[in-house]
Amino acid sequence: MNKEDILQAIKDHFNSVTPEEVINSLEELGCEFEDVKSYVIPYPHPLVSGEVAFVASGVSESIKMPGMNICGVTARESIVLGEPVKNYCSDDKTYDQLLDAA
Amino acid sequence: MIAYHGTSKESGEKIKRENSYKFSCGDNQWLGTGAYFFIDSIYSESPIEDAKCWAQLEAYDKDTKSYTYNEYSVIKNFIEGQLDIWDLSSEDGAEFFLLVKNSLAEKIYTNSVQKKLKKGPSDGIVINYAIEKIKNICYNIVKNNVYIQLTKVERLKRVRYCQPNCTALAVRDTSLVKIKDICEEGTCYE
Repeated sequence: MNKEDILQAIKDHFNSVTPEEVINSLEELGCEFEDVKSYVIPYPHPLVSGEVAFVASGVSESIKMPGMNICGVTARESIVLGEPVKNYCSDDKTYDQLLDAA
Repeated sequence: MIAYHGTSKESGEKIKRENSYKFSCGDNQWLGTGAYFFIDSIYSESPIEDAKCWAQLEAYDKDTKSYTYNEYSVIKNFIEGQLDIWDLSSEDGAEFFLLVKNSLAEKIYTNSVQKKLKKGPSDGIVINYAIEKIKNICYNIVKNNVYIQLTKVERLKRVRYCQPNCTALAVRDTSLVKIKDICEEGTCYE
């Protein structure tokens, strides 16, 4: 196969497989995955104010809110986190602390 | 192509006697599944020496601080037949690798996936994925210039350079390997 054919074969493959199929294949090959944990923070929340962004859970994108950074905000009325909150809070609040403060 | 394999004396004799190699598998393999060899290149002063150092250093178990074998062998081989080589050190080979790696990342880091990686895919897994899962990608050898800690000091002091110091092959089809002879033997304690 020439170079263009190989590049096309790779592109065609990835256009035809779903993320789940890729993950299954990678698991077969020895990659380890774990389920994304979801945490819900009641909203409105005294520590969470400002504009709530809509970002899918499990994605390491952070949004800045007054006093904290949170990753994986998905819901309008509640904040669903794809990761434990303690990993993303700029002020080191754990998930339990955030719940307590709610 | 002449290629050298370093191993324990016992394994060397077994390889010679059975006239076949066993695959190295698992996600730690730099070039994916295959039997591993050192070959001549601009990065290597001597592939025999590379194979010897590899075999000597692999004998030492850091956890138990003891040698798992005392004597090493270096086996000389000819790699012959229909060689379909994925040369990762070439421009095209590197481009294929990057495309697979980046396409994998796009799929597994997508928002809809409810699983996250505990440990990222290694180079070896990307290579295995390409060869085993993508139709029409039919390589039977993977080649690259790599850096391997080949001295005691580098291993003990965890010295790691970026510049390659050898060229390695992972041969996925062992029928391509013609075992010539054991070209060097010695102890692991030098």
